[in-house]
Amino acid sequence: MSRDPIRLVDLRDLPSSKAEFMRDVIRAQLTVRPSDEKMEELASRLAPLFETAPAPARPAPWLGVAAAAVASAVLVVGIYWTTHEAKPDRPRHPSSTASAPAQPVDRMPPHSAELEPPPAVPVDALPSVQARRARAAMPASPPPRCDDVTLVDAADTELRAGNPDAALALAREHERRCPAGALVQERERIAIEALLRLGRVDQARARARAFEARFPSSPHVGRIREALDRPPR
Amino acid sequence: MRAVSFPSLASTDAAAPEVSGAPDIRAIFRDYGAFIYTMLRSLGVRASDVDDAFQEVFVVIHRKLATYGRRGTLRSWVYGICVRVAFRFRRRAGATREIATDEVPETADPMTPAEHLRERQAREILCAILDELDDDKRAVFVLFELEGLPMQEVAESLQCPLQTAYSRLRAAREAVDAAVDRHRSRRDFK
Repeated sequence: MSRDPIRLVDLRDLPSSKAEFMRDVIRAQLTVRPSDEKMEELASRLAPLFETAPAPARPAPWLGVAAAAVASAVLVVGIYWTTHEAKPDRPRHPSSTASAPAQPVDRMPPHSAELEPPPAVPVDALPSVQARRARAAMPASPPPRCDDVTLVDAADTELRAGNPDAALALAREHERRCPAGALVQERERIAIEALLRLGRVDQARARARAFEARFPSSPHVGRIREALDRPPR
Repeated sequence: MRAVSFPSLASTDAAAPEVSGAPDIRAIFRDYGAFIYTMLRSLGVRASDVDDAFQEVFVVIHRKLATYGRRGTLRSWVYGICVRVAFRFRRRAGATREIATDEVPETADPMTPAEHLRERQAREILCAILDELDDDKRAVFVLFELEGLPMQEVAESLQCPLQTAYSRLRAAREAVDAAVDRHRSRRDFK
C-alpha cells in the first residue's frame, strides 16, 4: 500500500487558507497543456531525430579498463595453473572467458552518459535556434512597466460590475502602457463593449472594424459582432 | 488532445527506430510530449527557452534510448531526463535576462484571452512560488504535486532513495507555504 501523502489538489479538509490557495493555483494549471498545433510544430522540428536510428548502446570507458584487468588476471591464473598446478579434474577457464562479460549498459551512471558527445544524432539537421537565442539573451534595457494582466483583469472586472466608464479608462491605460501587450485582443473587446454600454455606438463600430481587420480569426470577433447587433443594456 | 501525427513516418512502423526491447521515441513523444513541455516550464525553464529545452530532452532520450534498462518505469526515466535538462537550462539562463520579444502571433485559438488570462495568472503565481525553491525541492514538488507521480517514481526520476524524496517533499511543502505567505504580503502591499 502506498505511503504517499495526499496531494494538495486532492485534499478535502484543507488545513489552512494557504493550502487552499496553493490547491487552487495548482488545479488551474493541471489542465494546461500545449495545443495540438504546438505539438505538431514540435513534432516537425524533431522529425530528423525520429527518422534517425537511436544511438547504439556504448560501453562506458571504464568498462574497457575493467575488461583488460579481468583478462590479465585470467591470463596470469591460467598460465599459473598450466605450468604449476594443472589438474585434469579441475575445470579450466576457457579462453573465451578472458573477454570481459558484457555488463548491462543501464548500469552506467546516467549523468556521465548524458555528458557524452552525441554519437549518431544529426543535431545539425535540426532547425537552428541560435538567432532567436541570441536575441533573447541580449543585455536589454529594462522593459517598460506594463501590468498587462493586472490592467486587463481590472478593466474586465469593472465592465462586469457595470462600470463601463472605469473599464474604458483602464483599457486606455492599458493601451498607453502596453501597446504590444499579449492581451491586446481582450482589451479591445472590453473597450468596444464599454463604448456600447455608454451608448457611443459609432465609436464602438469603428473600433470593432479595426479589431476585425487586425485580428480576423480572434475568438472575440463573434462576440463583438453579437454585442454590436444587440442594443446595449 | 488528439494524437499528433507524423506525416513522414505514417506508414513506417516496421522501420521504426527501435533497439531491441527499447521503446520507440515517437511513442514517448506521443505519450509524454505534452507533459514534458508543461513540466519544463514548471521546473523553471524560461518561456523563450522551452522549445529548445524540449528539443534537448528528446536529443538526450534519443541518445540514451538503448541504455534504458527498465529498472524503473519509462515515465520516471523520461521525467528524470527532463528534470536534468531543465536544471541545465536554468543554470545556463541564470546570467541572462528574459526580455519581451515579439507580439504573440495570432492563431486560431478556441480559448479567449480572458481564459488565457486566468491560466496565465495562475501560471505566474505558481512560477513565482516555485522559483523560491531550490532545484531538489522544486523537482520533487513538481513531479509529485503537479505531475502526479507516485513517490517511488519521483525517487527513481531523481535517482535518490525513497526516504530522501519524502524528506525533500516535506521540506518543499514548508518552503511553498512560506513562499505563499511572501507572495500574499507582496500582493497586499501593491
